[in-house]
Amino acid sequence: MNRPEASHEQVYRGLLRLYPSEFRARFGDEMVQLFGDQLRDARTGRAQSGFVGTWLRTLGDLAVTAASEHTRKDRTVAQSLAQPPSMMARTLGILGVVGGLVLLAGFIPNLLWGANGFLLRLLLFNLGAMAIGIAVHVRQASTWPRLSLAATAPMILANAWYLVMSVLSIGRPVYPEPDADFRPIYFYAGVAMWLTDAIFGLVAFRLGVVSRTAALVLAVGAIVGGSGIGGLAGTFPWLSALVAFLAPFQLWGIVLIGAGWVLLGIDVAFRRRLPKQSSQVLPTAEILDQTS
Amino acid sequence: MHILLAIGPEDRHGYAIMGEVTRITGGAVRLGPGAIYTTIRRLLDDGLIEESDDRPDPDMDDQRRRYYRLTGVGRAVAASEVRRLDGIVQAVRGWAFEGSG
Repeated sequence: MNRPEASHEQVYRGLLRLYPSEFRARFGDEMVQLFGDQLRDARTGRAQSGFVGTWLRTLGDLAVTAASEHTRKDRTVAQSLAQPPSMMARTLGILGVVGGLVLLAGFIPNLLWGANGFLLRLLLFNLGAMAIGIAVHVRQASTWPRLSLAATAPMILANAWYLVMSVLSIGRPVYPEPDADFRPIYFYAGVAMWLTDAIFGLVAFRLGVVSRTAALVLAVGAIVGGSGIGGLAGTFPWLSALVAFLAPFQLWGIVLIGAGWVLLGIDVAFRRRLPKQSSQVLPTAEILDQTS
Repeated sequence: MHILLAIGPEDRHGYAIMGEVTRITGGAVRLGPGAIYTTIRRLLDDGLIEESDDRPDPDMDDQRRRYYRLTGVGRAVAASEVRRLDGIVQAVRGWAFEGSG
């Protein structure tokens, strides 16, 4: 016979998706059972509050604790025992920071770059993006390797494509308008780069191994910044409404992209990471060693 | 800290912990499933509690239900907190109830 609480438990189980997946996998069943126990007591009169009161209190509890669980970082003893980033991660991260900063430097007034300076900026930017891609994938690979690789590999290839093109463009008119031979290549390279940057950022946000804020800033920046690519609406008419809506914010999108790479670079270069086989429960002796 | 003290010397599952928190605080603190398990996670991560394989409550047993107990460090932390709170109470007891009959 179906228990009266079963349908409520199903709804609550759905709401648990608001928690990080790792937390849900670990405690989801227990939380649903506890919620069911509360409802059972509300129904049988063993608890003071009724069904509605239990639901309201649980929704408030869920809103507060789901948000805090997403932002919970660097606050545990386990985290303090985590490994510092490797020299390779530090190097890649700093390359990413440099790449993001040179992109942002384009917004400094009266700083003249010239055509080759512009290409040098792009080159450093693409190198930085590729470096971050490798460093982030190394971290994410222990969580969901295929998804991480599926997001990272196209991003690295697209940035490599743009980088090679920038090198080949040295000495040719590129900015503000590439010559006719290069125009289609620039267009598709740009589309590929911003699109893969956005997907990379969204996947990093989903996996939550690196800073979610940084990943989201990058993804939003790539979507908004990419909307300003010349000829986008003409080539893909179904995008015209979105492009028209986002185009006024394009420069802000570029700023966000630069900031996203800088933040991701700082994250992989300086934030400690847990060991791959990290047990969530630290041995008592280890705790005592650390606290004595 | 409520949860650490609520587990006390026994092995308790989430619902029992929730009930014990309500009991020891006289109903002033009522925790929901989210508050219970985010705190349990933190206490596990910090090594203050651990999962127990014992099933001390067979009447309410369920495969989904997990029991938790204090580790040695957890007991030390709980005892230290009790001493701290007791010290505060002792320090103010002399004047706090003056004139209250």
